[in-house]
Amino acid sequence: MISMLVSFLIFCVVAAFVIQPLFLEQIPEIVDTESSSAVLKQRKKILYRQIKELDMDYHLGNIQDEDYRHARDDLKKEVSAILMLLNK
Amino acid sequence: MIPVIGGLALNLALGLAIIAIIFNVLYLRSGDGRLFLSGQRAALAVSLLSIFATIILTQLLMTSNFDVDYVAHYTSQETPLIYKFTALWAGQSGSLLFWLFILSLYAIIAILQNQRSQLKLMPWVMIVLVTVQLFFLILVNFITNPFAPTETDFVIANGLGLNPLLQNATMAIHPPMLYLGFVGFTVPFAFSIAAMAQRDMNALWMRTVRQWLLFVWLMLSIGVMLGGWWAYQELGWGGYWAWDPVENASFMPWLAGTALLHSVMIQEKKDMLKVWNMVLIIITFTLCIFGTFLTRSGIMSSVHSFTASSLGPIFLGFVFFILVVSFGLMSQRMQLLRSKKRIESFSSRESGFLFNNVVFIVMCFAVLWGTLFPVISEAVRGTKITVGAPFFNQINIPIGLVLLCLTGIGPLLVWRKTSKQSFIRNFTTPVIAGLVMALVLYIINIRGYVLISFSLSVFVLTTISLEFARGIRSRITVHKENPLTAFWRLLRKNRSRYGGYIVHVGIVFMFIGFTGHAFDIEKEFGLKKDETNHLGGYTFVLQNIREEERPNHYAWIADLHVSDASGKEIVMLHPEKRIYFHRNPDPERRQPHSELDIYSTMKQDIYSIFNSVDLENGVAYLKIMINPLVNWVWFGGFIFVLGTLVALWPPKKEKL
Repeated sequence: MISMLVSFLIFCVVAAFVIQPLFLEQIPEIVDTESSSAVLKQRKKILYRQIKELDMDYHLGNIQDEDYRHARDDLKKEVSAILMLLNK
Repeated sequence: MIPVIGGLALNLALGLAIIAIIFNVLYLRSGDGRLFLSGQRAALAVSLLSIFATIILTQLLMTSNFDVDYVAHYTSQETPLIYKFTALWAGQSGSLLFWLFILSLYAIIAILQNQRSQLKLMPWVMIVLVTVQLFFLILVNFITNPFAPTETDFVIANGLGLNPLLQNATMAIHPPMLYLGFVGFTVPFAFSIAAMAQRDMNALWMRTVRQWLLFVWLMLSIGVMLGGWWAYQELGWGGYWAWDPVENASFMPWLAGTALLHSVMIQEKKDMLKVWNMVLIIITFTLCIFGTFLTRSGIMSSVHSFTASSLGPIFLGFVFFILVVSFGLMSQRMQLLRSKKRIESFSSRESGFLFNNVVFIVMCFAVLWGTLFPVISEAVRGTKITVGAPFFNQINIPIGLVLLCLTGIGPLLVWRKTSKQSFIRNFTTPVIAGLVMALVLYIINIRGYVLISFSLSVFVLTTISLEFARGIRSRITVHKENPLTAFWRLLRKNRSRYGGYIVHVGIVFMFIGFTGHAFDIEKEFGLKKDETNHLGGYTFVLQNIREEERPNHYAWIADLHVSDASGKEIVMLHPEKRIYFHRNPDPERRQPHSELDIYSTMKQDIYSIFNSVDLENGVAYLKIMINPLVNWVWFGGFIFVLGTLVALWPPKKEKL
């Protein structure tokens, strides 16, 4: 008898918890806070980190002058393009 | 009453799992936010109820409620409290519930952590997570219910007790770690399926997935290492890895996961290898389920596996379902996954990673083939062929050495292209160091894989040391720091890179330990009181055989005095011969067990096993093994974990 009662109570609590939003009068707006600008920001962050790593490899002597300049210019171009898109 | 509530919680969770899937699908079709919220709550409720059911089973185990069949099978009144708790994952149904419990914890974290940031993906993430939960809920509700009552018409006063092999402290940690790893791969898998379903291939979800991957990979690594530690400490054959099917089942996802961990870096940094990464995520997750299938189905003979059961076809069906759905979806999204970028040079870090990926996957399939071959041969030719350690060693030692070599080469490669000059400059010292080591070993008459392994270890350690030295020197020059500060800041500001190097150092130490196996020696002998025997320059004297009765076993203890060639005492070893359930009136139920005693140093282990005792003549039959360099494996493991923690430690928020 007690187990039936406890089981019924658990069932009611869970059912109420799950179906409660279905009775909301106003339909809640589901907004993704990380929009397309967040994707660009994330890409920018990754590129900055890559520039830092490239600088570090250069200081460590793992990369030659010419390769370093070439790679850094490419990364900077990518960052500039992203910054332009973000500033639009 | 309590078992009934546990069973009801699982019934309710099953129903809610179906509701959660329906609500999320309806939300994806209609966009009605109320359905999303209800779907999310249903998904959370599934997890909460599964956790609740696990807590109830734990309580039943701790209080020795023998009305429940599972409790009566895996515990007894004498079982120590800690092992009553670990009995939760000792049997079939309990361990499946434990799988569900960990998945539920992960699901709650994944849902709450990403409820705002990954809203576009979350309905699909929930559908995938709940579908996997639903599979396990079906198993624990209909196939092997942990709350099933004991089928007897009398009151059970005592249970059968836990297998003595599982009454070990490592066993309290090893399975949970392994499960945390296995089950954790469900979350990255759910995100990848969601990303493909929603046609969202941006870098944001990959950022979420990468952190998860690193964490669950660490857990799996710890689980695998603890498994080796347990086998070494408990099984009494002197080794830590036997290429047993169940060991392989945990090793295969680790190999695929390690490949994945390297290649996601290329996707994050270069927006390349998206197709390959999807394949790796799907393979890794499938191997986790497949590993669970190997353990549960009973098709493999292993010390670790559960008895033959009807679960095999169900698991195999689920593996098939995952593969068909995942690869089907992937083929639909192939255009989106293809990258426009190409690897520019063979001597780039990208190609180094790719090569390492290929080697990891080749190794993974070699292990898979060796594991499944007995089953395939039985199905095709009707004869079961045993594939043992020699096959696996023959295939995997060369592959492992290639991986070791790549561990040294990788850090010296730079993104895009490594110039010839820097290649020569960076490789000269490590190659010379490796060659000097090879020459020394050759002179002292060491050949073959041992020579290659030790030489490569020196090569890799030199490359990593030079990388650290260059980094520190650069900081000292640029930032005018003292060497200690420079080291600390180098590590702190480049956690991922230098954490990875520390992991590689750990791997090298482990390889040194593995190689030591080539020098193992052993001897079996019987000793009466005060008799002596010799092995590897050590003298063993049996000083006494003692007897002791403990709550859950009876023990004979050998007091074994060990001294070196000069007669100096090294250690007193106390291996034991135990009889578990010794009070059981049925002699069939009593279980003999050898409890080892090991004297460990970085140079070698003296490993003593008390095989049997002749009480009439007072003879102890012992097996002694001298295992060189084993401690390097465990020490390497610590370094490995430390390195992963460094890489995993969250960086300070970067200013943009």
